[in-house]
Amino acid sequence: MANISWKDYEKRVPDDHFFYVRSCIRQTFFPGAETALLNILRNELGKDVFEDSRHTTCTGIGYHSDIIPLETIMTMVARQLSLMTEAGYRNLLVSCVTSFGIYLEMLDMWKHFPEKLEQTRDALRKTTGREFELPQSVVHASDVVFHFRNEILKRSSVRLMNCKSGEPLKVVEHVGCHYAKIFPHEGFGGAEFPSVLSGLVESWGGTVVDYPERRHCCGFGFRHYLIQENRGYSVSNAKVKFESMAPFQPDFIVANCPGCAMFLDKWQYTLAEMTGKTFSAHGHGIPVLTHEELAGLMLGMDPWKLGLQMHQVQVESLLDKLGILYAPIEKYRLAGVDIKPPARPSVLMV
Amino acid sequence: MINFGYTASESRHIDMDERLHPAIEKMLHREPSLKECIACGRCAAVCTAGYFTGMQFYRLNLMAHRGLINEMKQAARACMLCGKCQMTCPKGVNIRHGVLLMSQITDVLDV
Amino acid sequence: MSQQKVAIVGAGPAGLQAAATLVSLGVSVEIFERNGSPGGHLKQWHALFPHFQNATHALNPLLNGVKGITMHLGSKVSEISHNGNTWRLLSDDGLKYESDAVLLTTGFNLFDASRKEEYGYGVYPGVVTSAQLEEMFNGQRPWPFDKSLAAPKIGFVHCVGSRDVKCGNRFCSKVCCVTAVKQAIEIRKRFSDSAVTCFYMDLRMYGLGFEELYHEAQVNHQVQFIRGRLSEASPAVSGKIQVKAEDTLMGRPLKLTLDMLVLMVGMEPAVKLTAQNNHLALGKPGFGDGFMADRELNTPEYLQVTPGLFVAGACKGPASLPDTIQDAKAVSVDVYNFLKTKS
Repeated sequence: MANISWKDYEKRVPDDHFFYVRSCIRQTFFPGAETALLNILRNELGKDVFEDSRHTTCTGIGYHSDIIPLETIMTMVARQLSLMTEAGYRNLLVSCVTSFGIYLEMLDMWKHFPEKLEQTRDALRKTTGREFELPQSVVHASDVVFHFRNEILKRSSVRLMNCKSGEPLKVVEHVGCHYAKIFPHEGFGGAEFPSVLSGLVESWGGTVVDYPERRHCCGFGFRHYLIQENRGYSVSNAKVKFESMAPFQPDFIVANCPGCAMFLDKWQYTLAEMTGKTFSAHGHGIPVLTHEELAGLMLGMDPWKLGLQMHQVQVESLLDKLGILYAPIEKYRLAGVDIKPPARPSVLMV
Repeated sequence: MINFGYTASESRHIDMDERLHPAIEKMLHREPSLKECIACGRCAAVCTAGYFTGMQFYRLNLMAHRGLINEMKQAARACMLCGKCQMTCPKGVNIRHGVLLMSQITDVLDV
Repeated sequence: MSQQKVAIVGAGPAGLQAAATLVSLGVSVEIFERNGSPGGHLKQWHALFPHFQNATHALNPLLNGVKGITMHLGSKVSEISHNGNTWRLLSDDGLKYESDAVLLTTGFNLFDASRKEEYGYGVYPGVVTSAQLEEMFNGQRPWPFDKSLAAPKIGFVHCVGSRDVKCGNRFCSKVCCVTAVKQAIEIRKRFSDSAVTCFYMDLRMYGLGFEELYHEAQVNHQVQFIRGRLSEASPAVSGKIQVKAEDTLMGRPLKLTLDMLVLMVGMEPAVKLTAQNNHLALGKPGFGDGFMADRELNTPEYLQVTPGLFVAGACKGPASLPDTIQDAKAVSVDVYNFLKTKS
């Protein structure tokens, strides 16, 4: 469209020196994703990334579920920033989309209500004796992967293509709500044309599936899944999304938000058990990758070191399409020792 | 199948992709004046049953045209067949005959 | 006394009709048209509401009426000025013309449907405009779906770019409702097993024969009218389009898969007039710029205080073809009376 200036939708991402904050849930569900990012940035791209083991959850899930009060979360955020200040970094790199939204929200609030910033400084000083400076930039991990997409491509022999047919893989991209819907200028493509994942997919050789419910919620929604009685609402939303994408026969889903990736993966199992239906031709479901896992596969990392065996929907069919070699015997081995594979679901094929 | 303590709901969307039920097509053929309805609501405002139930003839007719045959049949049973609606209808729809067909649709127009 | 001269800007129906009327009253006329041929939007149209009259049957008399009149085609007037009683026209191609009066009949532009990004015009090939559908009826444009398709499903969206504050257009474009009904019937006649659905806000059947046409569409042609403005169009498998709307009479959301979605694009002014002293610049309208004048009221000051400048037709606001022709005739008489007082 002629009257859109795409420059308005670009985001500045620093080239180096990041202070990394992790997600509270991702290490359980996608245990290799964060390690993969650090590996890529540090070892493949030679970047300086610092993390401090003393950092904690941002308390975003509690905040969005009305459990954590504003003063608490502001102080929590301030504490993370004080760790960054102490380490001498100014570029905050955030693993989680919820946290990303939280950091931006607090910074925005402090900008508009400077007295809140002073209160927070005061609270942090009284509770911990710490001081903090505001970051120069806040970027999400997917921003960084997007920013370095061409460098990653240059180092990669993998393309998002079916290695047998040469056809580009059909990819469903799903961008977390808090990535750009709260602060559109903080995300590539803004809220309306999010390009952070579609841009990755396209520059790495795949095609993006444009399906009717592309912008439909994954079903995460904080309060909607925390309480068991509400979870039907969450799973129903995911069902709408899967039913809409299934006719396009996507090869995989890539998501940049812990909640989206988790639910788009796990709910396929739940729905299969509830309704007897799966959303792929052979009953295996649609594999779900995070942006880091995808980047890791591009760079030839071992799928089992990336933790892909921890996904609900198994990824072998995708690895075969990509022509990525893997050792089936290594799938359930830890430090050279066999571990017990998980029980098989009754419907979803593994 | 596992009971997780919650269930997935069906979508509230009216799915217009499904073809009209043959019985509805038959009904519209049997009472063509149903096609005249413009959903103005005069029928519902005078409806005797509408005082105490959700009876709204124009909505029954919309249900028919949207293919919601079971909802339509169920809702049509609230009608008392007094015929006040028919007097007020600006399009001359034969409402009583229409409602009779609707309430018995799968019995009398079974295909 | 020499014959008095009038410059007409725009060779659409209003300009053509005004030229013929003025010539019949003994006035000398020259027409300036920015496009390569006269006829305006009418020349792309196939059939007219409410009687399905062939559009060329309406256009030909207008073209015949201006035979012998000098017409400057491909000549875009960018500026007009007046000095005393003399008007001077300047076109982009360097043409200069002096006259005793100027009549602007610059008409309308169709709303650029790609501005309503949620409908996917320009993205999905099955999404077309009402004007493009006329070209399909004319055989000048291929159908976006396989014509051998047993039962094509086609949707019409009313009010695209009209009654839409976010598009800068608060007004009703007046003719789209009945055009959609006319086109829906034409589709039903052409594809006998087709299913046609119109998404409307309210149906404005203001003219004689319009309501009757709407009735015919509903009862004889089984066109479904859904009261709800389309929220979005998305791609479905195999090139189809899935649309979402609220069925407001049912109070429930509705979805439907279509082979073609027709956007009833509204009218926008084609020219923005900017007055500065004795100069009037004819520029491109921006967001929210209105029409030149309301038909009866709200005539801008520069039109009231500038003797010899007249406007007619759809540049004053959305108008049907009969409206435009009648207005052109009426304004021509105003022009004639003005010239009479001067001579």
